[in-house]
Amino acid sequence: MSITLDEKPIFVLGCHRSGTTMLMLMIGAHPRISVPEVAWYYQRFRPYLYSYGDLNDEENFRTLADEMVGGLIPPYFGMDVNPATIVDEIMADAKERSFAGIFDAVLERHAREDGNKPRWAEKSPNNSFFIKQIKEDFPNAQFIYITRDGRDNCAETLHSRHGLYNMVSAAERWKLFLEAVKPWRERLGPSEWMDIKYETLAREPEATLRRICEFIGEEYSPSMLDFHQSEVAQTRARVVKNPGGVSPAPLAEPVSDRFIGVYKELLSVKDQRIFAAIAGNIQTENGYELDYEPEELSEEALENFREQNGRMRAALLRARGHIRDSYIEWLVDQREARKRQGIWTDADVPDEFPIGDPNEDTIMGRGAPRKWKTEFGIPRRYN
Amino acid sequence: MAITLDEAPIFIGGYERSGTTMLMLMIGSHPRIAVPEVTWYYPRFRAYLHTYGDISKEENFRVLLHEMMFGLLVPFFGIEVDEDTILDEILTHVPERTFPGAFAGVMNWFVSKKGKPRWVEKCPQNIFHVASILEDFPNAQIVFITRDGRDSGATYMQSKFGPTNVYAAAELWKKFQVAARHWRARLDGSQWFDVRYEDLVREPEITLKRICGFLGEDYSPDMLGFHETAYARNRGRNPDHAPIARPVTDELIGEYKQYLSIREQRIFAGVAAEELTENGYEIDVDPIETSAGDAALFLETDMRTRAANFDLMGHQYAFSRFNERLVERWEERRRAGIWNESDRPVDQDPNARLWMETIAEQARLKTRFGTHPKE
Repeated sequence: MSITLDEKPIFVLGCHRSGTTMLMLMIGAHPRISVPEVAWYYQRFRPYLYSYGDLNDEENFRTLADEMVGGLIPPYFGMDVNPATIVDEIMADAKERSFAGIFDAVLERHAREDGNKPRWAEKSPNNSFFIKQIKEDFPNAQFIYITRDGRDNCAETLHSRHGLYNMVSAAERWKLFLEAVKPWRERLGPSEWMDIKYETLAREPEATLRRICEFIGEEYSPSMLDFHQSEVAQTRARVVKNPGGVSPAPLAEPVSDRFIGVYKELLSVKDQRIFAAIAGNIQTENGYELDYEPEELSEEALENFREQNGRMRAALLRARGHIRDSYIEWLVDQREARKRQGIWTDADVPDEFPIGDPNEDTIMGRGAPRKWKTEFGIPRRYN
Repeated sequence: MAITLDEAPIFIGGYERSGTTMLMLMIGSHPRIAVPEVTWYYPRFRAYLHTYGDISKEENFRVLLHEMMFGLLVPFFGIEVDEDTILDEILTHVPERTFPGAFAGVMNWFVSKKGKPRWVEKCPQNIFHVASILEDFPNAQIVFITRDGRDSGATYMQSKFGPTNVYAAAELWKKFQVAARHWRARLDGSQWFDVRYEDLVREPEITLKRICGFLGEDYSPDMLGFHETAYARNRGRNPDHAPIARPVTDELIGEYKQYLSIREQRIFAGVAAEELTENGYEIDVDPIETSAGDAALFLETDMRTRAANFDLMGHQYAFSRFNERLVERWEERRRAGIWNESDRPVDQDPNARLWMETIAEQARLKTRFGTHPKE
């Protein structure tokens, strides 16, 4: 099962806090390309397709379509749709009865609503872990991976309301992304894979966008630099950062190089040493520097930091302004309900990445580790 | 109800991680002065005397004394005692059935065991209880130690028991300094003495001689041997207190530059610029004002973080648990009709309750998260 589109789909990848949203908005500001808000489709659904049963069955396919259409933020990607019929319409539009069929139908629907644009691109940072699956689903997909100096990336991660709570965890996540894409960088050819650096994009936006356009086979359009005027940019910019972080939110402003080097303000010397210890190799491999020698960290200290981060993510879930990963929890509950209905059994669960991976929580983009939410008795509250 | 002792009692206060323990051990190493391990008596008990009912009654007084003696960080200050008779033994040292009577009774018993005539008591929060201390012990002498709040705050944040973000650390430091400013202006040079941590570690002998001058004691070189006491060696085994087992050093001055980001330094300065400057600490960053909304989020985050990490390896179980029991006992005595809401003291400085209220709030969150130690 795969879908080969005449207009090659574009997947924007990169670690959170690397400029992935800016890049997606720039591409979405091209007259021929439409980019909706982040869909989170691969991490939410792709590893769990076993739990929907045979998708050729109308009812099973509807369940999947319903869940994929229902959890979008903003609702229905802000499209003007009839909630009573949209799932039927998406199912009718699907080119095949598969996850990819719904994925493509939703993205095409959005492109139509977005001024009848002929081509779509999608960005969900965690798609960086699902390149294999994306290739299976969309064989002619093109990938653009954006990398940012790990120190700046981690500095912003530590100050984001949907971020992480210590340098060990921030550096390990940044590293995990780069390690995940490393084999693909080597395997995929220049027509399929493009690397860009946040810093280059911020310093030389037009030249960089021209190179991107060349890669995706489009003509450069100056409208790409007006990304900050889009509705998504304006809405996103209203998201408050954690106190002490980078503010105001830069997405509503034209591209600027003033966020290069924010780590110098936001990271302590100690944190820079910890970063060097965790991700120093990847940092230099990607052409970035280190100002300090690595800190010596015992395995016990590392475990302590990781556990502390997990605990804090759970404990802060309900603090004002923090994330509440309720839709993911709702999906888990639906899955369990389908199991009780006999739609799937444990034997159907594939023994493959990323289920059971030690980094499963990160890869699946869970707001807080299940373990600590359960341990702390954080109630599920759908909203 | 005031007790005037022939040997004027000494009270040390100061923000945590400011060298308060080093200073208490230095003074306690003087041949004439003894210091017990931190008792927390003022924040634990003085602000909540109303929960014991009329303590001139033997029964109520014994409840108070029992809680004072059986919740110490080092049981009975490391003195071998018979637990069945210890309260009766202390009672022979108690001059009157009042809080200062109980306090003086414990201290008098302690110094008698140590063979020294005079006592000093250190608790960081004593600064929020100076009014009570002076009411209880009119000839008390107060020594207040100040360290650059950025250094204290940074190491407090690194410790297992401190605030977990810079705003919370700075806000608390400021409270200590504001309280000290108040008393500095009201007490004369015979009752109030300021020590700067930085002076103490750079010029320990000169500074200790000045302190001795204030206390009316001869300087003794024994005071510099504080790190060799059994107490210092014991405390020094805890990584958070390691420097106490080493001779005085000025190497920890400015350590915040390792631990605080520039942004954190700016937030600290935004909270406490006036207090930093007035204490002679230079600010080399542009202060940032923290909005009321951000301040509330910082403080809530701090409370949740502390509760969530409470049972992470190495945190202070037993000590916190005892404090939480005290909170539970206030409630038990209220239900038993020993006190009611109308007994709460009016016009009490809210900072006098800060410490126990933090503990009570932590207890609520820990119960919610289930991070209480399993018993």
